[in-house]
Amino acid sequence: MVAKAKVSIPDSIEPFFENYCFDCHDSDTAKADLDLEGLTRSIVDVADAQNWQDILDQLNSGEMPPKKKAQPGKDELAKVVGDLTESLRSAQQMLRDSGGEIALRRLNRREYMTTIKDLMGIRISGEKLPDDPSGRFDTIGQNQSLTAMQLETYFKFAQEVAKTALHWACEPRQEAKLLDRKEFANTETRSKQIYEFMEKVRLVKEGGKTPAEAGLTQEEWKKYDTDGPNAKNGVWKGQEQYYQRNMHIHNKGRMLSHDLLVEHVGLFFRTDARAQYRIRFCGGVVEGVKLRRGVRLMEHNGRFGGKHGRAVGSFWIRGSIDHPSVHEAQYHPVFAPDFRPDHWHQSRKHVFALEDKRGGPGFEQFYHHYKPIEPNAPKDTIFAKWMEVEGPFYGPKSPFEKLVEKYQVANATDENFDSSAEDFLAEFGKMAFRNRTIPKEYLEKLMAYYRQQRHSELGFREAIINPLAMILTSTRFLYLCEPDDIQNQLTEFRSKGGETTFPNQVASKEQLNKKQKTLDAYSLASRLSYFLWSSTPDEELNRLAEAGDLQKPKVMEQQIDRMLKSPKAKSFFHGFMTQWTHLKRFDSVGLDSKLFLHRTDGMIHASKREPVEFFKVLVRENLSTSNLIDSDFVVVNGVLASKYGLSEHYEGDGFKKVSIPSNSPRGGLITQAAFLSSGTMGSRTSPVIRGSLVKEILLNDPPPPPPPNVPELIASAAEPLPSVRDLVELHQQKAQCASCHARFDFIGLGLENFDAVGIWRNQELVTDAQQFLHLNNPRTPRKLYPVDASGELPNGEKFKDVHGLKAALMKQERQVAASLFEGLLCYALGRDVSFTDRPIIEKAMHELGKEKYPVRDMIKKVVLSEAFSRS
Amino acid sequence: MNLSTSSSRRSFLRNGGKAITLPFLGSLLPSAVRASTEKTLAGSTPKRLLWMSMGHGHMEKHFYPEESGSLADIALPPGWDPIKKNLGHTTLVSNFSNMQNKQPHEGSEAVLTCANVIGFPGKARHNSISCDQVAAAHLGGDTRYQSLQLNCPKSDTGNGHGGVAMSYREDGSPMTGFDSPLEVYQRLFGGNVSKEEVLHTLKQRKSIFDILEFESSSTKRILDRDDREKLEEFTTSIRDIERTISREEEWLDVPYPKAEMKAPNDKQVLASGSHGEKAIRTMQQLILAAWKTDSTRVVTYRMPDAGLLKSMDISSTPHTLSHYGSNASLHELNLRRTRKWMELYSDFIDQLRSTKDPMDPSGGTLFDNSLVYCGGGLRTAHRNTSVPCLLTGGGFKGLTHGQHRVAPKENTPLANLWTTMLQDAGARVDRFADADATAHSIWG
Repeated sequence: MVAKAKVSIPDSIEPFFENYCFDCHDSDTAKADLDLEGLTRSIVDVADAQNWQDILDQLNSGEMPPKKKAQPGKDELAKVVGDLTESLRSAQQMLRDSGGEIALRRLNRREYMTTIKDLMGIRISGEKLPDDPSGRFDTIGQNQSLTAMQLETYFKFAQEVAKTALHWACEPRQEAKLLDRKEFANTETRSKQIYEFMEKVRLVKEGGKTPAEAGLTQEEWKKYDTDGPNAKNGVWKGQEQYYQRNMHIHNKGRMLSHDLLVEHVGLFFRTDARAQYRIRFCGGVVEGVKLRRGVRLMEHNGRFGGKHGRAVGSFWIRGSIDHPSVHEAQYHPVFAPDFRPDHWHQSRKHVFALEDKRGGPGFEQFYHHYKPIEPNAPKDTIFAKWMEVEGPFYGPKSPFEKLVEKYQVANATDENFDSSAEDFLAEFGKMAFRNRTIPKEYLEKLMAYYRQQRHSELGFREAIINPLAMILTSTRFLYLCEPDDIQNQLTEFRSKGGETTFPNQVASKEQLNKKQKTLDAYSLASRLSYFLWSSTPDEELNRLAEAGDLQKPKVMEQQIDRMLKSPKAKSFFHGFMTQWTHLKRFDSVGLDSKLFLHRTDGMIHASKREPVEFFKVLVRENLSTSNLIDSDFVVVNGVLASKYGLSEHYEGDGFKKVSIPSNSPRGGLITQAAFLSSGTMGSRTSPVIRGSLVKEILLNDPPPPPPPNVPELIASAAEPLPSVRDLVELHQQKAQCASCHARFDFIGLGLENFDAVGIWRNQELVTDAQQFLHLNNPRTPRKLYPVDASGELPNGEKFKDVHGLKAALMKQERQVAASLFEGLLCYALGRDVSFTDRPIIEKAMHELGKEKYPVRDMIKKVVLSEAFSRS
Repeated sequence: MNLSTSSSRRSFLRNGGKAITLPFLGSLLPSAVRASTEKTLAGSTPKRLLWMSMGHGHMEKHFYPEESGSLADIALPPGWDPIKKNLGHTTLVSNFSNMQNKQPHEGSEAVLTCANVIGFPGKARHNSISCDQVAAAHLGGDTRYQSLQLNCPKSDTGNGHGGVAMSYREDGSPMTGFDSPLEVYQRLFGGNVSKEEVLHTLKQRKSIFDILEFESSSTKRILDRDDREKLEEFTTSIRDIERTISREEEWLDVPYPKAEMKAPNDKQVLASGSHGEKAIRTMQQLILAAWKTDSTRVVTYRMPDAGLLKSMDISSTPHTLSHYGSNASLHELNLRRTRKWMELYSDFIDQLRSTKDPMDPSGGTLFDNSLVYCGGGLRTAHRNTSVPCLLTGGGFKGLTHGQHRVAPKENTPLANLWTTMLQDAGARVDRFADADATAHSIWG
C-alpha cells in the first residue's frame, strides 16, 4: 500500500496564526468552533481542503482578523495568502489524481470530424456536434457528459454523414483540371460602359462638342461630368468613382475594390467533398505602396447574404502592375452537414479575393476606417490580372470508398445488394470500430432493421442509411473503448512472443494499481493514432497490431516518425498547440479593427496558424524545446512577415521558416501575435494575462484562479488615462492581490513593447477613442507614455526589456521542457497529469536533458512511457 | 470517508460531498404514481416556477441599494431607473450566498445546485441536481413537458461565468436545453405534421434507440468496471430518450394548443448568430406561452450575457466589463447593461401581470400564480457572496413585494431561498442542498 498523498501547509502560517488568530481561535477559546491550533497542518482529503479553503477565503475577503484587532502588515499577509493559495492549488491537483487511471472517453468533436474524414473520405462541418467540455485539453474524458439531446444529435448527424458519404463514394473521381479561370483585362462590362461615357465626356471637355453632340443625355452629362456638381459634392457612388479612377487599368486587369457593386474578383466552381483545390492569383501593387499589399481569400458564406465571407487564406503581393506576381493557396472546402450533394447550388463554391481588411466588402465606411494605415496610398492599391482554380486533388481512397467499390454499390440493384448487405455492414462495422468485429447479435438487429425498411418499399440506398448511422452512433465508435483483457487473450498471447517491455518502466509493481492493465494491441494502435492524428488507425497500424509488432519500441518509433511526417499529423499540431497555449482566448478578445488597423482578416487568420506552424517545425526538425522561449527563426506567411517587419526576409506563399536578424525581438512563442493578442483586456495590453500565460506555459507553474470576494481595485481618479504599468502597480497595493500578482505581473511587463495586436511600439498610446479616426480630432483625450519594459521573474531575476526577459527565461529551459512534456502526456493520455506521474516525468526529463530536450524525441518518450500503454 | 470502493466513491460523487436530504425521485415520476402532492393541489391553480440568470453581476453603485425597506422610499441606484413603475411588484433580497461555491468563475453553473463545482476526486468539475429539477420531479407530472430548460448558445460562454445551462441532472451533467426559439415554439405548439407522421417517427426513433441500447449493453460486457460506469451516461441518455418518447406517445392524443403567437424566425431573432435582446424577449414570450398553455410549469433560462452586449453594440466582453476597475468608460458600459437587464425584467413583469391565467378559476393572471427568480451567481466582479436576488410573482407565501429585504445573517445559504420556492410551489421538500431554514422569516 502506498502512503497516502498529502499536501503540507507552509510553516509561514505559524507566526501569523500566533500573532493574529490564536487570541480567538486557539484550542482553548475556539471561537465559532474554529480551533486553528488543533487543525492538522496537512491536506489529505476534501474535508481538509475545505477547512483550509475557508481560512483562505476569510483572509482574502479581509474579514479576518477583525478590524478592531491587530492587523497584519501588507507583506506579511501577502506571504501567507500566497503560500496558502499555492498549497490549495496543489491539494486541488492531488485530490483530482486518478491514480493514473484513464477514464473511458468519447471522441471529441475534432476527433469525430477527422475520423469521419479518414474513414468515409468526406469533409463536413462539425458545428452541430455536441460541444466538448472546457478542461485543459479536449481529450480529457473525465469531464465529459452526455445529454439525451446530444445523443439524438449524434444520430441525426451520423445520418447526414452516411447519406453524404454514400453519395460521394458512388461518384467516380474526376481528373484534376482547370475548373475556372478569370482574366480581368478588358472583361469588366460596367467599366466598358463607363469608359464609353468618359470618352464622350472627353469629347466635350477637350473636343469642344456639346454634350448632345457627344451623344450624352442631360442626365448622363450631369452624372459623369468630371467637374460637375456630382463629382464635386461627392454624390458619386463609390462604384462610379472606382471606374473613374481605374479607367487606365481596364486593358490590363482590375483593381480590387472596396465597393460591393463593382464586379468582383472571384471564382465559382463545383467541389467534391473528398477533394482539395489549388487557387492561384496573379496580381501586383501600385508603385510606392508599402503596407497595403495584402489580399485575403474569402469563401462566400451563403447564409447571411452577400457581404459575409470567411477568410480561408491570404497572399502578400510582391509584384507590381507591370510585373505582377503569381500566388497559390490550397483550399479545402467544408460542407454543411445538411448539404445535399445533388443540389447544384449548394455544391458550388464561391471563392473571391479582397484587399486584406476586416469586415465585409461593400461599405465605404470600412475603407475610411482602414485608410489611416497608409494615409498616402491611393484608394485602390491591388491589381488583379487573373485568378484560377485547379482540382480536384484527392488523397488516397478512404476505407469506405474502397468498401463501396468492392460491393459495387454504385451499380447494384436492390436485389444484388440485399444479398450482400450483411457482409457490407459487417465490414463497415469493423472499420468503424477500429478493427474490432461487430458483435453478431448486433449485426442481426441491424439487418432486421434494414429488411424492415426494405419491406416498407425503400430502395437499398435509403434503407442502408440508418443502419450505417447506427454504427456511427454505437458506443464502440463514439467511445475509445479499451476492452478488458479477458476478451483479448489472442492478441495478448501473440505479442508475448516478441519484445514487449518498454524501456521507460519506472513504477514498481506495487505502485501499479491492480486495475491498470496493459492495453491490447488494437487499443494501443488506437491511442497512438488518436494522439498523433486525432483519428482512427490506418491499415498499417492495424496490420502491425494484428501481427503483435506494434509493442516493440523500435517499430513504435518508426511508426511515430511515419505518422508525424504524414499530413494527418496536422490535427495533432493544431489540436495540441492551440490548447496548450490557450489560443481559445484569442477568439474571444474584444479588439476592434477600427482602432487596431493591423487587425485584418488575413492577420487574424495567420496569427492563429503561426503557433501551430511553429510547433510543426519544432517537431519535424526535432529542435530543442528552448525554441519556445527564443528562436533564431520565425514561421510566418507574407502577411505576418510584414507585420513583424521581416518582409525582406520572406518570399513565396504560405508559412515558411524564416531566419531573423539577431537583434529582432521576435522568435519563440511569447512574441507571436496570437500570444500577445490573447494577453489583452478590452483594448489594452494586459501584462497580468501575458505574465500568467508565460508563468503557466513556459515556467510550468500555472497561477491559481483569482479568489472570490476580493473587491475590484479602484485607482485614484487623479490620472484618467493611466499607463498599463501604473495599473499593474496598483495590484501591489493590496496584500490579497500582491500575494499572487507579484509572481506574474512583472513577467508580463517585459512584453510591453508589443501592442494589443502584437505590433512593435516604443510608446504606449492610451485613449478613450473607440476608433482610430477619432484621433484626428485633437480634442479626443489621449496620452502617450514611453514604454518601460523592465520587469522581473518570480525567482527575482530582473530584466530590462523583451531580450532580457527571454534571456532570463532561457536559464529555465528545463521548466518549459517539463511543461511541454506534461502537456503532451496529458493530451495523449486524456487525463490530468498528477503526482502519480512524477517518476515518469523525472526520468524523461533527465534523459531528454542530455540533448537539450528535442521535441520529437519528447513525443516518442511520451508514447514509450509506462503510462501510455496502460489503461 | 472510505473512498476505496467504487460504489461509495460514486455515491460520494453523486452527493457532491454534502447531504441532499431529498430522496432521489427519478427524472420523471411514472404517470401511474403521480405524486400525492399533486392531489393536494387539486382544485387550486397550479404554481409556475421560473429561474432566470443574468450571468454576471452589477456594480455596487449601480444596482445594490444601501438601505433596506420600501423600494419606493429608499434611495435606489441608477440601474433601477427602468423599473420604477414595477417597484411594487418585485422584491430585492440581500445576503444570500452560495457558500459551497468556491469558484468565483462559473457562477451560473452552481447557482441552482448549490454544489461545490470544483475539487472532487476524479473530476475537474462536479455538479449535482439543481432545484428546478427537484421541482420538476414533484410538479411536472401533469404537463406535456416535465420542465423546460432554455440555454444560451455556446458562443455566449467562456466569459468567466460558466456553461450554457442552469439545470443539472442528479449526476451533475447539464440537462438538455434549447437555445433556438423556433425549436421551443415547435415543442409547445407542434410542427406542421400529422398525428400519423408523428407516430411513425416515434416508432422509428424507438426502434433505433432500442438497437443502440442493445449495442451499448453488449459493450459494457467487455469493459472493466470503471469504464462500464462511464458508459452509464450513454445508457441514461437512451433511457431519457425512451421516456421522452413514451411521454410523447401518452400525449399524442392530446392536441397541441393553438398558438397565439407567430413562429419566431430564428434567422431574424438570432441576428448574425448571437442571442441578444431580441432573443431574450422572444424566449420570455415563449415562457409565458408555455405557462399559458400549461405545457410545463417549471422553467429555467440562462440568459445570454455576451449576446446581449453585442446586440447593444458594445464590443467589450462580459469578462472585460466585470473587471471595471477604475475605468470610467467600463463603468458606463456596466450601467448600460444593468439598465438593460432591469428594462427586460420590468417588461417581463408587465407581461406576467397582463396575461390571464387560463388555469385560474378565479380569473387571476400568470403573475398571481408564479414564483420568479431573476439573478445569478455573481454579485459583481469576482464576488459570489450576497448574490443578486430579484423576486416577482404572487406565488411566494407571505411575501409582500415592493421591499428591499435583508436576511439578518450574512451569507445565508442561497439554498434556503430555493427551499422556500419549492415549498411554496407545492413540492414536498424539507430542505434543498445545504439549506438550514426557509426564507419565510425574512418576509416578516
